[in-house]
Amino acid sequence: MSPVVRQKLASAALIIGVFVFWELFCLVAGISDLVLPRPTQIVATLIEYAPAIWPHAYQTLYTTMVGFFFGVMIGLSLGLLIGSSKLAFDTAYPLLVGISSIPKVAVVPIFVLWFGAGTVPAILTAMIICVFPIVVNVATGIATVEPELEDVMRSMKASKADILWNVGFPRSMPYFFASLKVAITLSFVGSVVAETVASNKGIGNMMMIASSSFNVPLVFAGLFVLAVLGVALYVLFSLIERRVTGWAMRKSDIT
Amino acid sequence: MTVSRPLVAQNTAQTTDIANLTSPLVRFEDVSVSYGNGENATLALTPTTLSVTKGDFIALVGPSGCGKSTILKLVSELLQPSSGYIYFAGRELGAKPIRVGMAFQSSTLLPWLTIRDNVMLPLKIVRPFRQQYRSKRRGEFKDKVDALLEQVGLIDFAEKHPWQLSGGMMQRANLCRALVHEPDLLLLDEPFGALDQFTREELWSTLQDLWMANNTTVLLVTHDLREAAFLANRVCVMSARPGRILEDREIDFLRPRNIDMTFEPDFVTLVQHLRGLIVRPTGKAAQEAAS
Amino acid sequence: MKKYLLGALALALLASSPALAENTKIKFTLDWKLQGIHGWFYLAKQKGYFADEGLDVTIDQGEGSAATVTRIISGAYDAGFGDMNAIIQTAATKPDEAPVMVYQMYVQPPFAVLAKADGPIKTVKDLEGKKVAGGAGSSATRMLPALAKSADIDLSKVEIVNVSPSIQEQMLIQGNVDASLVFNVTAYLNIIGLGMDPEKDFTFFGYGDSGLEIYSNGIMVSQKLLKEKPAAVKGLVKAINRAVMEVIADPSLGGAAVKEVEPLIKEDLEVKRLEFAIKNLMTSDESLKYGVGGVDMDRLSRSILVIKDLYDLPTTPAATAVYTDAFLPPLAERTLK
Repeated sequence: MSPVVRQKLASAALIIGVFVFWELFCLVAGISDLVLPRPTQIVATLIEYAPAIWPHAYQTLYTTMVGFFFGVMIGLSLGLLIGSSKLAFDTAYPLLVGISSIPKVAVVPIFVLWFGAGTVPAILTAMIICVFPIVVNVATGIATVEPELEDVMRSMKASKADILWNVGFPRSMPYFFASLKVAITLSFVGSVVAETVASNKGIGNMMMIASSSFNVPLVFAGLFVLAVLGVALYVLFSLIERRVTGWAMRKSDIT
Repeated sequence: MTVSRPLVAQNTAQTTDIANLTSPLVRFEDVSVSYGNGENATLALTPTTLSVTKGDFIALVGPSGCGKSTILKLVSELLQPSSGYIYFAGRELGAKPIRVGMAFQSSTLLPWLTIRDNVMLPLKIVRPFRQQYRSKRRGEFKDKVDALLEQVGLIDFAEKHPWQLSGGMMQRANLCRALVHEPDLLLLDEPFGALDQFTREELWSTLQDLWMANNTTVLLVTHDLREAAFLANRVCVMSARPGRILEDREIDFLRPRNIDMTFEPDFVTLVQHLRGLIVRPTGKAAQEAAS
Repeated sequence: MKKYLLGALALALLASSPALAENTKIKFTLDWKLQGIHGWFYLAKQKGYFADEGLDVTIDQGEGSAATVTRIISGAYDAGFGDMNAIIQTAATKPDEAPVMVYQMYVQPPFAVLAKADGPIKTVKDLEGKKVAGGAGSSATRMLPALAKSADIDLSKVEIVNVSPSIQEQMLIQGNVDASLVFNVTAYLNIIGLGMDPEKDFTFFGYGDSGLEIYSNGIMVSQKLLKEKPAAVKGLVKAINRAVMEVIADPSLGGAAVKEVEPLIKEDLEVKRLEFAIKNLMTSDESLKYGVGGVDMDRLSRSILVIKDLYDLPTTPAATAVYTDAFLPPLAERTLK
C-alpha cells in the first residue's frame, strides 16, 4: 500500500469513525433529535426532503458563483492596478485592510436597506467578502517581480504595460489561483450568512425556517449540504489551480 | 543559422580597433554618478571617460561597489548620469533608440514559459521585431531562436521549462535571450557568478563562440579576473568606490581561446598583474577584493 | 451571442409592456422568516387578491418586527408586517420618516408569563416571592416593569434569573424557576417541540390580559406610499383583510398557502402557530368591537405613553401620527365572529 493511499484511507476512516461515534453516542445517551439528531436521521431527512432542498442549494450556489465572479473581476483588476504601482499599493492598502476587517455579517442589513432582502444582498456579500484576498494576492504577485527581471525588461524598452502583461500578470497567476480557492469558500460563507439574515431562498434561509419550526434534523441536513458544497467548491478550484499554474508547483510531471 | 552578419573567425582586438578607431560605438565623457542629494550624496562613479569600439569585448573588473554595474545601467539607460555625456554611435544617448541585451547572475527566465518562448520574449517586446511578432513567431522567429539554441546546445530542451534545466543550461538560455534581438550591445553583469568552476569555464567558451559568431559588442562585468582575461579584448580595472578606471589594458591572446591557455605563463602573469592592481591600493580595498 | 442579447432585450420590453405595468408594484417585507402566521399574505398573493386591487406585491422575508420599520424608512420597501412600538419609537425622533400603521393585526403584546398548570402561580400577582426566568435582553423582560405597574406587582419581591431564551421552558419544566417571561407564540411551539401540551400542562398569563396596554404587529406603509398612492394602500389593506378573514375562518388555508411557498415547512405545526396567534394576539374585546385592523384610539394613546416611559422617548407622538383607520374596509368586512 502506497503512503498516499494509506493516508487517504486513514482520512476516510476518521470521517466514518466520527459519524459512527456520533450515532452511537446519541443512541446510548438517549439524546433527543431536537438537540442533536443522529447522522442516520439527518441522511434520512436529506433523502426525504431532497426535492425541496435542491432549489435552496441551487440558490446558494447561484448567489455564491455570481458574487464570486464579480468579486474575482474586481479583485483581479484592483490587484493589477495597485500591484503595478507602488504609490497605489501604499495608498490603497490601509483602506483595503480597513474594509476587510469589517465583519461581513454587519454589512448584510445595510445591503438589505439599499436593495431589499433576497438575491442581491447575498450576491453582494459573496462579492465583497472575496475581493480582499484576491487583491492582496494578485498585488503581491505583481509587486514582488525580481528587480533584475524588471531591469532586463526595461533595458528592452518595455513599457509598463508590456512588463505587466508579460511578467507581472502571469507571475501573479499562481497567487491568484491560490487565492481563488480561499475566496470561493469565503464567498460561499458570505452567501449563506446573507441568506440567514435576509433572503427568501437558499440553504441559510432554509435552516432558519427549519429551526423556527423545530425541524432540527433538517437544520443539520442544511449543514451537511453546506459542508458538501463547500468542500466541492474548494476541490474544484484546487484542481483548476493545479491545471493552470502547474509551473509554479515545480513538478516536472505537470505540463 | 539565420544571422546575416559575416562570421569573423579571427576577431582580434587589433583588427576591430583599426576598423572602428574613428567612431567608437559608445563613448563616456567625464561621466559621473552620485546617489542622494547635498551633503549625503555619495559618489558612485568619478568622472570617467571610456570608449567602446563596435564589435569589441570589454571586461570591467574591480572590487564590490566600484561602479561596474553602474556603467552597465548607464549604457542601458536604466540610470541617468549625474554629470558628463554618453554618446552612442556619435550621438548623445537617448537621441536614437539603442538596442541592448542584458543578462544577470540570476537567469530571470520566466518559469511559465518554455525555453524557446523565454528566448523569444525580446522579439515580442523590442522594436522593430514586436510589430512582426504575431506573423513571424511560428516561422522566422522560431527558426532564429532555434538556431541560437542550437549554437549553445540547448535545442533539445527548447520545449522544457526553466526549472527542468541545470543552472548552467539556464544561463545558456539567458545568453540566448540577451542576444536574440541582435542587440547593438550585450551587457553582462556577473552572468556566471552563481555557477561552479567547471560549468563556468564551459560557458566562457560558449560565450566566446556566440560573440565571434554574432559579432556583437560586449560589456562584461565580473569579479573573476581569469574570466575577464579569458574572454575580453580589453580589461578595464576599476578602483573601489568611488569607482574610477585604474587601467585599461588590451588582451591580445589569439582567438578562439581555450581553457588550456589559462595555464600558460603569459595568462597567469596577466591575471597576477590585474590582481595586483586591485589588491594593492589600501587595506580596506584589498580585503574587499580578496573576499 | 447576438441572438441571446436580442432575446433578453425582447424579454425586457415584454416585462415592461403596458399590460403588466398597470399594476402598482409594492415591495412588502415580513417580520421574520416564513411562518404559518404569514399565511394570509401568501394566500392574498396566490389567490390574486392583490392583483384584483391592481397591485403587484413582492413579499420578502424579514429579520425582526422592528427591522420592518428600518427597511421601510430606507425606501427598500413600501410596506410591511411589523411592530407598532417600533413605529412609536421612531415617530418620537423622526416623525417625518416613521411608517404609519394602517391595519393593526396584533392588538395584544406577544409577551406572556409562562407557568406550569400545576405550579404555585395562579395569577401574575403570585410572582411576588418567586423565582422567574427572563431572557437576557429580551423584550419580555424589558416590558416587565410596565406589566408590574399595570398589574400592581411589587417587583422588589420578584427574583429574576437571567437565562438564555432557548432554555427558558426547560428551566421551568425542571423546576429551576417558577415562571418564565416569554414570547408567547415561540414558547407555545417550543413546548410542542418538547413533546408536551401547552394547553394542558402550562398556563400563559398574557401581558395584555394583565392590563398592559400595548400593541404589536400590523401592516404599516411608508409615508411616501400613503401620500402618493393612497389608492394602492387602500387596495393593499383590502386584499390582506380579505385573506385574513378567510384564514381566521379556516386556519388550514394559511398553512397550505405557506406550504406552497416552502414545501419544507411542517404544515401542522404552522397551523397551530397561526391558530395561537389568532386566539391570543388578534382576539380581544377591542378587536371584537373595532374589527380586525381597527384600534381604540384612547387605548392607543395610553400605549404610546407606556412606550414613552419605558424607552424614555423625547416626545410623545400623537396616536393619529402612528395609526390611521382611513384605509380600512367597512367594519362589516372585518368583524370577528
